[in-house]
Amino acid sequence: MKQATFTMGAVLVAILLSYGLREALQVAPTEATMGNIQRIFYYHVPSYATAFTMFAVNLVASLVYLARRHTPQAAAADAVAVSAAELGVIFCSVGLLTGMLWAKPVWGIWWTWDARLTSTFVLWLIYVSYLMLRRLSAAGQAPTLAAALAVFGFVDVPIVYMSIRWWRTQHPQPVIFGEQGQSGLDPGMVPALLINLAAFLCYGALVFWVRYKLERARQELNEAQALKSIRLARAEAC
Amino acid sequence: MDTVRSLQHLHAAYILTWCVHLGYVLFLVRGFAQVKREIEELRKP
Repeated sequence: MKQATFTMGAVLVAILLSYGLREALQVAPTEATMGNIQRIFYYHVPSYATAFTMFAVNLVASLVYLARRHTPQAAAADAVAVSAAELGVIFCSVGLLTGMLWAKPVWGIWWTWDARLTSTFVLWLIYVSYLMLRRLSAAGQAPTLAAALAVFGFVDVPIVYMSIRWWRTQHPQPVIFGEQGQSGLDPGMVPALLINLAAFLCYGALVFWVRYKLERARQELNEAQALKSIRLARAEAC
Repeated sequence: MDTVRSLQHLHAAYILTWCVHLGYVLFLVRGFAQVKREIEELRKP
């Protein structure tokens, strides 16, 4: 991506995010029971949607890495996987934090160990473990071990999504894709949700690109450092 | 049921979201600076 294209993309994302913020705080109607605190919804849901998208990207990249780990494409797949996992953790953390800030005034508690919240916390722990594994493992093994963990870790994503349908939870039942595909969301709230969803996904894609470029630069640097070490060792041996 | 406390939580959620994202962007900028520094060191004879 050229510098000019990236700058234009960043400006468009900033405009979309600002528009989404205005829609969420000023234009969307106030919810009848909860009042203005319900407006957290417009950041809470898009954060999780972006996190799940990133975890799905991580899964695909991990599968590609495992299938082609002895080919030149493996390094790019690994860079995609680690970038997506890191961003997934960031968006999932935002989802957890906004959820707690919403829960306290509405439920009277910051946290409860119901199926939705617990499975989400487990998901967050899985991907934090993934990132720690990459950092702490021996350099050669880390991508393969992490890719295997990512494949099993992704199993928790559909569990998180379905948890409010499978079990009774303190967390509300689905409002977007409810029973028989019906939406419990007021039609006036839909534009604010969709705009913020698009804005968060675009912002996620933009930051993902930056993180991917950083990872590729690190990979090239590590290769160059290894080559320099070999050359120095050879020179000393001669 | 808009209380001062619930409005504080609403503002906190929006501010915290952007603090987390801004912090992550700064972390990426620092990462690029570190890679650039290491490349320069590597080019030294």
